[in-house]
Amino acid sequence: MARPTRVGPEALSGVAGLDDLLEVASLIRGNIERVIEGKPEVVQLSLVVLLAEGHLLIEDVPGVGKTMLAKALARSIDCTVRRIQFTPDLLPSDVTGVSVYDMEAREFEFKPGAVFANIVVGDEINRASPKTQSALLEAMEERQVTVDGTTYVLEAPFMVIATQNPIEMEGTYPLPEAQRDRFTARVSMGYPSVEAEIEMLDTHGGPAALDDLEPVADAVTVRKLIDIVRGVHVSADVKRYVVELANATRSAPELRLGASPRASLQLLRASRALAALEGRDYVLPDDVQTMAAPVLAHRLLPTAEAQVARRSTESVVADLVARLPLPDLRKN
Amino acid sequence: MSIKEQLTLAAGLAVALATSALFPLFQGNDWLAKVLGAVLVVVAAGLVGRRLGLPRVLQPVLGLAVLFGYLSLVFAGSSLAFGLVPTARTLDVLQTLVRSGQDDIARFGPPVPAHDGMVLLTAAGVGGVAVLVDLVAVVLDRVAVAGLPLLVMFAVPSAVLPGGIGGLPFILGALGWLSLLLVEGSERVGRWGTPMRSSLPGARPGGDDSSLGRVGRRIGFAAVSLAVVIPAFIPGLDHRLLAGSDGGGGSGSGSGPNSARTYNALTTLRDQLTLPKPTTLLVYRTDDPHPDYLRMTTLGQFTGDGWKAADLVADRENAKVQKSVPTPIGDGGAHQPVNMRIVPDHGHLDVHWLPVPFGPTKVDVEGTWLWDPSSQTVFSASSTTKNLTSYSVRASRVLPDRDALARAQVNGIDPSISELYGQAIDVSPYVKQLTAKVVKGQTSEYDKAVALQRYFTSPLNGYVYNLRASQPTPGQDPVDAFLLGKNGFCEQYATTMAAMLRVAGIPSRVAVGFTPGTQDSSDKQVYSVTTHDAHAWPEAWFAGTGWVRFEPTPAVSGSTVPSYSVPAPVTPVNPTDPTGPSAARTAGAGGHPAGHTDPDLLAATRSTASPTSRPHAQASSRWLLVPVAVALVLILPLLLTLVRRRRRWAHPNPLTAWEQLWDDATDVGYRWHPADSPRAAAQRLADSRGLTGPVAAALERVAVATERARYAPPGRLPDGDLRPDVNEVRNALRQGSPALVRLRAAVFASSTLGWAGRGLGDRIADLTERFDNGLAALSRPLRRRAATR
Repeated sequence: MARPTRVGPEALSGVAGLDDLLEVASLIRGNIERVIEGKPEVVQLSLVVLLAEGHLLIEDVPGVGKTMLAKALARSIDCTVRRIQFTPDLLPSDVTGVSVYDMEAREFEFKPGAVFANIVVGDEINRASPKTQSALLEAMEERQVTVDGTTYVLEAPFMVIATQNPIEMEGTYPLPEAQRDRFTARVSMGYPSVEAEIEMLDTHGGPAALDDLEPVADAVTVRKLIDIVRGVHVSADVKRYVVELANATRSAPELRLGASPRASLQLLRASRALAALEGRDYVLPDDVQTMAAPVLAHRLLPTAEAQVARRSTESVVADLVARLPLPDLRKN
Repeated sequence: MSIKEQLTLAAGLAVALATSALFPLFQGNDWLAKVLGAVLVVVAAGLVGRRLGLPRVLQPVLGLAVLFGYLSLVFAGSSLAFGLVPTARTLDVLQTLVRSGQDDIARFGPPVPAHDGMVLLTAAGVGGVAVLVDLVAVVLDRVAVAGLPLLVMFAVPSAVLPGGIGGLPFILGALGWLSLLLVEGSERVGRWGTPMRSSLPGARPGGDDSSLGRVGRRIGFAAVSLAVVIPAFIPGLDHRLLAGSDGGGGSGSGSGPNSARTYNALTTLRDQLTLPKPTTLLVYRTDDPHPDYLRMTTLGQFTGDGWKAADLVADRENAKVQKSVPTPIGDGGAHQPVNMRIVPDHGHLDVHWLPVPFGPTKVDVEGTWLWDPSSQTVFSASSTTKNLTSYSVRASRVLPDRDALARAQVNGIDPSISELYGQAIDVSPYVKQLTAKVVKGQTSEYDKAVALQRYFTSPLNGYVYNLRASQPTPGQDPVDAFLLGKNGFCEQYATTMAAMLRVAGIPSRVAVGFTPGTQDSSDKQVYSVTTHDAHAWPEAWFAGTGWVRFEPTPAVSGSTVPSYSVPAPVTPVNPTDPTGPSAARTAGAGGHPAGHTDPDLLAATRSTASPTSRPHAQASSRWLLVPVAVALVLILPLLLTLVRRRRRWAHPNPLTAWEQLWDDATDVGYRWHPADSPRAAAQRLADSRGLTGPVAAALERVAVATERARYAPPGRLPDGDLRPDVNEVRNALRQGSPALVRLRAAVFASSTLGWAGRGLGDRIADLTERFDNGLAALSRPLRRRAATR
């Protein structure tokens, strides 16, 4: 079986525990913040998604640094990075790859597509046709690609960082629910603060800052970090809380479609990653509450009434979090 | 109208409804308007105070002030300066009224006449309860607890009414309290917003307020019904709620105007004896040189609790005592005619029975007074002795003959007597054994009766006359208690001997009336009878002679031991019988008054009677019980709080520390957000109560320890005692709260009340669920049948 991905250099350090995780995370964070000013929460979220083995959807208006964030994260880790610019005429085979007949060798040779990389930056994903968007589905969920009956496994870590413009913008195809569900979290960049924007003018006025970024970790390191996150303890109460929260979205009157079981799973993974990034080897309800809106909101469909009332799914999730009682602390 | 104003009105309504419990205490309804007026002014004061935005602390003060003004205006209106301002004389007038009210309480058994003194006390009490209910329900915002002061309204009548207060007043009181809860509950539900109603017909959405209301009403209805019905089916709880207020008088149903519902004569007797100062009740002139006792009525039914009177029944047309009184069954032997004119003194005696000498043949009296031949009672269903100026009695007194009595046989007992007065009674084995021991060796019924009397009167047996009678311990029979404690007054001696007579197979009953009283020093035919001459004695029935009285009470002024009831001097005395010597001592007492008042014995009994056994003690101790019970109920939450805290710290860990912290903050009125994690909850509490510095650090330590205990891998409990941290936070929370809140947290800890309420609510929910399931199971076959049809 062809393994077309390039193996990265040796690990920068022998990662073993939480302390090492915090050290590496802080290096990556510092690296990204050199080009994305004033958005620590967004940077943190992208780290969470990386460590939770998830995919990140960055949604916002053009020009607020979506692609910059994706590229900065990709560059900070010394691993294979591919960028796909989604356009209406992009074909599925451009994403997954194609088998070409080699006249000399008299056999079909697989030419891997853009998805064969540790980090795939899908720029403006909602400008491609649904058919091409769907080509990403199998890769994102199963971490493998099947072309002409042959399955090619993708190397870990594998993370898709997609950016998209809000669907009200011209020339966009709304992302199907199934595909949205495959993104662990969605984040909005938002406009930078005045100070951050002024600083950006200074920094970015000169040579391209992004090009100066040096990798601070490699694929092996990231794989070890992911292993550490998997070992973070989750108590029965927290698990119940996660499920109750997902359940609450399914019965909320403002929502037409609630969170899927996959959403519960990803919420728990993200909470684990957040706990590890905060230096804890156990998950608190606070972690779940913090991750609830980014992980759940983009999967939910509001009812017509809620849309008319201009209620965002984020605010619905925030309401649920504020109302849903924790498993009673006072009962043993 | 604001919620506080609604609660004020509901509190007033609850008190007004609870007032219905006081109806059986009074004669007539004249008192009602004045008492309800007191409630009304307290409610008005509450409403005005709340409208004016008066500080909460001052609201009960305003209520009390207005109540005092109202009482002054109504009861001492003439003493007010300019018709409005209370003066020193107002206080004097009120004080005099209060004293007369206290005298009335001591003097009368219920129903008491609605004299101003009594009504003043009642209005003040009910007004005070209204202020208290307002304080608890509206000012302190503890609506459920307001049931406690309301209970006081029921405590007094149920303590003094022999038959309890009846079901209706209880239901009305419960409804009042429920309405108070309803106002508070609907306000609490209302905070969540307007409940949505389903637009679909037949739909049953969970949030429908009508279904919510339905559940509430069902619970309320079920609770009140259970409270009324259950006591009737539980042995040990008597039928007080279901029975009327007719005390010892039985059900009273179907008795019509020719019968009287009798209050317990023994209660009346007790009340008379325990008056602080003797009051003259009757003055009479008689041609009998040695007048015997005056009888009022008899108690012929023995229940487990004691002796009770049957309904008095007579034919209104034929049983009028003015015509003539038939000779009682079995009344034989020698008779002595007696003529007596009796003048009740100032209406102090207020009973439905006419005091008459033994064996009345004709009574000249105003009004409808009837003769009940069975109990040999002259009674009136429509009036009392209070309204009588005087009456005359012609009597034919039986002079029992010792020999005739000794010849009387058991099989000679008239069936009508044995049916009513000769039935075996249910007493403890001890009473049976003792009776058998005392009457051992006695052959005739008469000898047995004499032996029983001697058993009580002999000083060797250690019986002592004491107005503070030996009280039964819980579960103990009153008769046993007296026989073992050997302290009592005429009531105990008479009822116990009557019971032992029954055990010995002799028909018996307890008679209530008066000893002959004090002879006038100038006119030897005139006697005066005071409250302290009230007396009870046993009567035994002997074939051929009829009812004969005995006197087992060792020493009481004016009581006499009948000559026939002491053995003849020739009777051989059993040397082993401890009662022997008394026979010789009282043998010579052939006439009236007899020498039962052995000076030594009298001295001995008086000296053993403690100084507090003066009359009033018993009645006042009963009244004292009420505040003591209320105090106990009030202190209960405090005790529970302490016990819960102690139990928590017995096994300290972060979770119990968190529980304690949760309760402490709840007690000072903090509302936790159940969706907050420990850390977020602690932060919110610190922000809300302005906790900073070391207190905030202590709070954070508790929160972090809690989350670690709860969420970290097992076996990682943090070290260190969290108790100082929790105590520090509690102290800071209390210091930052108003005084009223601090007091409430200490005495009425809402966490404890909530915990107890939840526990109780869970039990009730379980019970009602079982009830529902049971009903469903029962009705299932019916429904199935209906479906197949």
